[in-house]
Amino acid sequence: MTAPRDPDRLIQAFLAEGTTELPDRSFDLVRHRIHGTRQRVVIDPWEHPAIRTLSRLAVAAAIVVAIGLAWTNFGPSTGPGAIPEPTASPSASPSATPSASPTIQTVGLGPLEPGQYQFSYALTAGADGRPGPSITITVPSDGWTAFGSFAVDKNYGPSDAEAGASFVVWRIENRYVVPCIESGTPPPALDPSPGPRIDELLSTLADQTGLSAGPITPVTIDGYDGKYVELTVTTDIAACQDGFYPWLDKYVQGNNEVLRVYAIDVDGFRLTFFARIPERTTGADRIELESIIASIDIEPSVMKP
Amino acid sequence: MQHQHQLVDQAKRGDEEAFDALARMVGDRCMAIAVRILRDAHLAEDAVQSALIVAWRELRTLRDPDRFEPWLHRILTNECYAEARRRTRWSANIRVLRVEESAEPAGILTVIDRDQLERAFRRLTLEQRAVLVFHHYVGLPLPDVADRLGIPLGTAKSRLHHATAALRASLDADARRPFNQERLA
Repeated sequence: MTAPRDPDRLIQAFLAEGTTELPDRSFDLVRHRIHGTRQRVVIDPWEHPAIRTLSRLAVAAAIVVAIGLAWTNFGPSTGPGAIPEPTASPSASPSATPSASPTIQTVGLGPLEPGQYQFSYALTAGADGRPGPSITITVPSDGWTAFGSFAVDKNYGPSDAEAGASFVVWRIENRYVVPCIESGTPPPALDPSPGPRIDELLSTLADQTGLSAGPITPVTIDGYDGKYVELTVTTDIAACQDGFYPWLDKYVQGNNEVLRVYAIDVDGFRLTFFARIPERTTGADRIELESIIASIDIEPSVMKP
Repeated sequence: MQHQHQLVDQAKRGDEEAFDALARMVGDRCMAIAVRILRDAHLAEDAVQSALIVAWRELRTLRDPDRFEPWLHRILTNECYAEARRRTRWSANIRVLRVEESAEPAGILTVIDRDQLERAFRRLTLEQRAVLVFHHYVGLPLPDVADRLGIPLGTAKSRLHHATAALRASLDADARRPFNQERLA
């Protein structure tokens, strides 16, 4: 006779199995990486030099206004022949009011408040590890969530199927031979990989089975010229047991998903990012996504390609 | 804990040595959590590395040094999600690759139990797995799990309920088929 089995104990025993050690190489890598990573500066607006200067000006202007008012109300009356004393110009008042300048935050994790956010230079780094340009966007409203420091999603849900529209900074260089992965082994990447020109990359992405591609269209982002192509998934991704990959490491999250891939020439650096538009994206979310793209501010890397 | 508090303070001032010591203090536990959520040691290693680097970068936003580990675990969980989302799904549905087995705990899990649980676990969403791991492996009560993951308590309860039900069902299914000889790929 066997004792009754307690499922919770079995689950706990199952979870207790497995490795509990981080290899030394990981500690070494982290140590190496943080050496080149600056800590984010937490800005107290009143400690920021620009704000401090503003506040000094504001205090000075307020004093001038106060003296002026006091003089007007309580000072010696000005007779017809008297020379009027200078008073602070009314126009000084608005500029005297201290207002916090917009703070650009780093895209990190979790829900974002409306405002400006910068993606790390490291995200666009080339194969040689040199940082690429950085991208700053303006998040227009609540409901956007930073995901893993490389994406902002609207109405991000707990599963892929629920993820909404996204703006994603992603270095795109190549694709697999076929996008639909049916077996456990990933197919090889295209060899040779697309050349360095924007058209070479976008036309390679457009030329895949299971996708329909719009025209490769010129675009200017923050003064930099580039092109985009809109890829629409036309295959049923459920048939791809291991996922449908329009380019290396990027799997599609839903049928009929639209991926608008941008490739921008930033002083000779091919900067790539994309907009993900799931089928269920609402018109309002699409407008917000477009506003994010329109808000892009590109800062070239200090490291020239 | 006091030592950890001091290291966090020092690291917040940009002391890389202190952060290295801190990472070595918490890294194994992070790895244990990540590997259980992701069921893949390589992905887990990458997620922990990313989490530690994010933690270094964002450390000055942490106001209470005593909250370092819960704060780090939230970052870690998000990095696990990101890693799974960003990387391939090769291991997700195809083969049941066991997380490296240890000699313990002995006894109570049969091979079939383990395989059924592994399969069922991999069918859970990452978010459900995270709740399960923090509750059943780390041993946190549900309100603490919710706090650590930054989700409402009701959501944590719901995820735990569904995850546990799915795992129990897998064991029940196994019980109904005691001679399950299904070969794992």
